[in-house]
Amino acid sequence: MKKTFSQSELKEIVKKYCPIVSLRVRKSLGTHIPDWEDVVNEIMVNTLEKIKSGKFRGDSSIGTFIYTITSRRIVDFIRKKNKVLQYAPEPSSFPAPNKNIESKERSKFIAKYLKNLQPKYREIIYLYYYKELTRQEVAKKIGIPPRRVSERANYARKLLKKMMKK
Amino acid sequence: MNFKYMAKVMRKHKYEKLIDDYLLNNLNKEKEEEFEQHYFNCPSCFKKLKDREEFISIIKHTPDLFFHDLNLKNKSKKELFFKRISTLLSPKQWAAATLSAALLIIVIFNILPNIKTPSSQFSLDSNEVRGRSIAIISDTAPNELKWKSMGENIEYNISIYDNQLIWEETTSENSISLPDEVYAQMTPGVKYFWQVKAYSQEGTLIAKTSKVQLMLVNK
Repeated sequence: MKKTFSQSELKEIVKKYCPIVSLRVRKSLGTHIPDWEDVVNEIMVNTLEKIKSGKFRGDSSIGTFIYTITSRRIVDFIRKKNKVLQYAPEPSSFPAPNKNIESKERSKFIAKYLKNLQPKYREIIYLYYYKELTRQEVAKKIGIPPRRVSERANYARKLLKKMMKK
Repeated sequence: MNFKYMAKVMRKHKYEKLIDDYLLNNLNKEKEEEFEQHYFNCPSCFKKLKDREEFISIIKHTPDLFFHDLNLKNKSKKELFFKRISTLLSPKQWAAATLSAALLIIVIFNILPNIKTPSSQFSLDSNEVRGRSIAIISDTAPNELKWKSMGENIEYNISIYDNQLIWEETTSENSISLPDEVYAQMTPGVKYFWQVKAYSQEGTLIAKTSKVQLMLVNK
C-alpha cells in the first residue's frame, strides 16, 4: 500500500529523525571526518525523495526504513573512503561536543556539577568512561565486585542529574 | 497485571543496559545493529542515548576539569584483595567458606602430588581486527602475544578474559610473554579472549583492538 504524507508530516519526520541519523553517523564516522554533516544531509534528502516517490510502503516502521537508508549510506561512504586511502579506517574517536553556543553552555553546566561529585564517583567515571576500562578491569582497580561497577556508574550519573535539577 | 506492558518494560530495560557498551564500542556487530534499529524506533531510548553521548563526550574532551585531583595510584594488591573479599560474603558464608577450604586443602595434599599437569601451547584461531587501529599480528609461536607497534612512548595494556578478566599487564613493548600463572588458570579447549589497549604518555586511550580469541591446546 502506498502511503502519502502531507508537507507538515514530512517536516515532522525531518525534525524527529535528523538528530537520530546524526548520532548514528557521528558514531560510525567520527566527527574528525569533516563531511559527516553532509552525509547526514544527504541521508535526509534521500529519505524525503524515497518517501515522496512512494518507496515507503509502511511494511516496516518509518524508523526502520530510515535506519536502513542510513546504514547503507554509511557503508558506501566508508567503502569509498577506503578505496582512496587504501587502508582500513582509523577507529572513530569520540565525537567532539557540538561547536554551537548552546551545547557549549550545556557542557560548562554539566562540568560545574561533575566537579563537585565525590571522588569515589568521579573515580569510576574516570576509569569507566574516560579510560574505557572494562567492568572487570575497573572492579579490579578499585576493589569492588564487577557487577557493582555499572551500579556505581549509574548511581554517579543519577547523583549528577539530581544536583543539576536543584 | 498487564503482561504486554511488563514485557515492554523488560525489553526497554534490556536496551538501556546496552547504551554504555554501544557508545564505548564494546558490542559485537549483531548486537550493535539490533540496538541501532531499536533506537531509531524508540524515542525514550534515543533520548537516553543522546544524553549519555553528550556526557561521555564532555568527559572525553575536558578531563582536566574533573579528574585533576583524583588520587589514582594503584592500591596495593593486599588491600584490594581484602576489600573485595570482605564485601563478597556475609559472616555465615565466611564460616562455610572456611570449612570447605579446609576440606579442599586435605584433598589437594593427598591427591595432587600424584597428578602431572600436561604441557600445553597456545594457538590463535582468529586474527580478525574490525577497523580498529592496532593490527594484531597473529602469532604461531607459543607463549607470546604480539601486536603492531604504534610508535614511541606508548603504553599497552593487555588483558585476557574468559567471562571475567583473568590476567592483565602493562608494557611499552609490542609483545608480551605469558607467565606460568596464566597457563595454570587456563583450561585447554576453552575459548579465551585477549585484548590490547594503547595509551599515550598522558594516559589517554588512543586505540583498542577487538577481543581476539585465544585457546590453549594440549600437546
